[in-house]
Amino acid sequence: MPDAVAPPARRPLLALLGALGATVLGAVLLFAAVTKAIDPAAFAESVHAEGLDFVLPAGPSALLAIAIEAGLGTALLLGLRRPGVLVAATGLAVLFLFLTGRTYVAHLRGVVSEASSCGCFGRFVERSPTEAFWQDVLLLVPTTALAWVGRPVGGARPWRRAALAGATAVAVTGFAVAAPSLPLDDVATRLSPGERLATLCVGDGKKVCLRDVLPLATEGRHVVVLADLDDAAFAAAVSDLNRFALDGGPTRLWVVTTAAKETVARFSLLSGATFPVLSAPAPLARPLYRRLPRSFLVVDGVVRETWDGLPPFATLLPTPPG
Amino acid sequence: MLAAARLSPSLVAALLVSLVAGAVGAGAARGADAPAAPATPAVHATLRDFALTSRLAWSAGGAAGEGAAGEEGAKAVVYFSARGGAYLVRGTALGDALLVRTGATTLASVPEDALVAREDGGVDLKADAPLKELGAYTLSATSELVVALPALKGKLAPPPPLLGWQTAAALIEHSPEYARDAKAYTPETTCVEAMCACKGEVRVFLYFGTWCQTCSMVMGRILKLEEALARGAKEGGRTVKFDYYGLPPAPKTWEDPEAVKYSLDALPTGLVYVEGSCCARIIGADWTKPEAALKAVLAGR
Repeated sequence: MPDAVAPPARRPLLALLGALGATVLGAVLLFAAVTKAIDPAAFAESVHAEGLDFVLPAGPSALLAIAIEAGLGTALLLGLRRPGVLVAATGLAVLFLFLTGRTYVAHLRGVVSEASSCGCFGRFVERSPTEAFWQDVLLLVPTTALAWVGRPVGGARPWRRAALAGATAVAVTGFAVAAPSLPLDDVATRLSPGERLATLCVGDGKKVCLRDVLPLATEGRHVVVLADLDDAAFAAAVSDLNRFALDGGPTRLWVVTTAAKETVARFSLLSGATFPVLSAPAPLARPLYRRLPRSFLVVDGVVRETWDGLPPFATLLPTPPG
Repeated sequence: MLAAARLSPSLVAALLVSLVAGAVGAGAARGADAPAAPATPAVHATLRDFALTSRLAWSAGGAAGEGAAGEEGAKAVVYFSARGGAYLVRGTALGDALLVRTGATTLASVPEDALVAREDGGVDLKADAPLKELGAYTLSATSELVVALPALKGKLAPPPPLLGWQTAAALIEHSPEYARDAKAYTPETTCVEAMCACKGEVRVFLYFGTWCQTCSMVMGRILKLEEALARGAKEGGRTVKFDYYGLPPAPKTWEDPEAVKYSLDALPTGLVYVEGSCCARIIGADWTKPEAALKAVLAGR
């Protein structure tokens, strides 16, 4: 049975503006949910960093937030402007504004560096505190306010649209659960073939770029491994990495980590690693991967190839003569 | 001849320092009455290619009552072999060289006459070098490598940073890697010649940190450029003088008076002065090709 048609609003212009606001707000929420679902681990880190895991652990909290956001976004896109939907959407918008506003104020006070960014759109869209706050104000405040305007009154309950919103929420959450094992790294992260080290940067005032971490990779051929030094599997690969560092011919090997210098020193002295391990700021490195290790080939400062995991050493080693 | 005479005193001193460093190693290797090494001895398959390093420095003692720590620490020389994943410390109270294998976390002693000096100032172990296992090392809470043997106590830790105004010689003495990187780098001749062909005095005040990873990758290249510009200087032509200033590691880096005075916020940063007035800054990874960066800055002058 089709949804009952809501009675027309008394003021068509207000109804049109309201529908427009709800549609834009819905699109923003759905887009944000999908970008978070591509890299739920990164979003869970943001949830933890924001202190929003006080009821549930960060992982389930992140999935729940993705489901709510996807469901509300779809409902608004389908024109569902029932009080329950609008109250929930307004609450979500207020929460986002509070979080980005808190970070922005901290940034203005010099507590948070410009390189820090909100995870409201996942890692797919990287924003500085200033950008995050003002973009949220511009996107959420007018659309949320408009969504309340010219709302159709009465009418039968729109079960089909509600069911579709619920199904979208389940589908997006299911995608979030499956996403880490899907080959989406080049889409979900900022690191993909064709990117230049000089343009992979954070900060909108004083920028920090991957080129600053790997200055020598702007010329020649280099293999870079993004790694977690505390990962036992990575430690087990040290001998392979050592061998490649020695015998890789013209290809130089670099390992990049967000670990502190003391951790790097400890790793080098205990693991026997002889390849260079470089420290990169987390806001710069984190958007480059969904899980570690992740590797990439750089030729003359341009990313040519990426690999989920360690690089394929056998194919990268120079062929012995004869 | 004329060009050689114009080499900056700091570079000449740097050359001397690297020669002295090699001699210290060679002297320690030979000992007072050790026989000369054979001309082409077979060297160890993995424990070879040890090169002077500034990754770690030896400081003796640590435990109460251990005397003469400073004297011993000053003469000890540390080498690193990427092939062997090992450090070699010579000139300690142990007498023999101390071999530190990082993967196995073990210590061993190697007789000095089992070492072969390399032409590049490094050393190899002979293929049949007798290693005397001494036990394991530990790491301190601050990731210093602690040696606590009955015959030798001390630690290997990153050397203190160079602070304040420094010469090229001091840089190379502190970080021998700079000299190796300089040797391996060839600045673009056209850039160097173009800069030398102009007139006027240029001074580059380079702010860096011996602890800074970007700096460590480009400092050798900058030293090589300084050397190339000094060699290429023509009578009455442009002179380019480099001055180096070492900043402390975080969190004090940006509190240093020079950093505050010039509003530094990234390393390395070079302030380029032409005829006494500051015309540009060269920052961070732009120093990867120092001759191109400096030429670009001077192009419009």
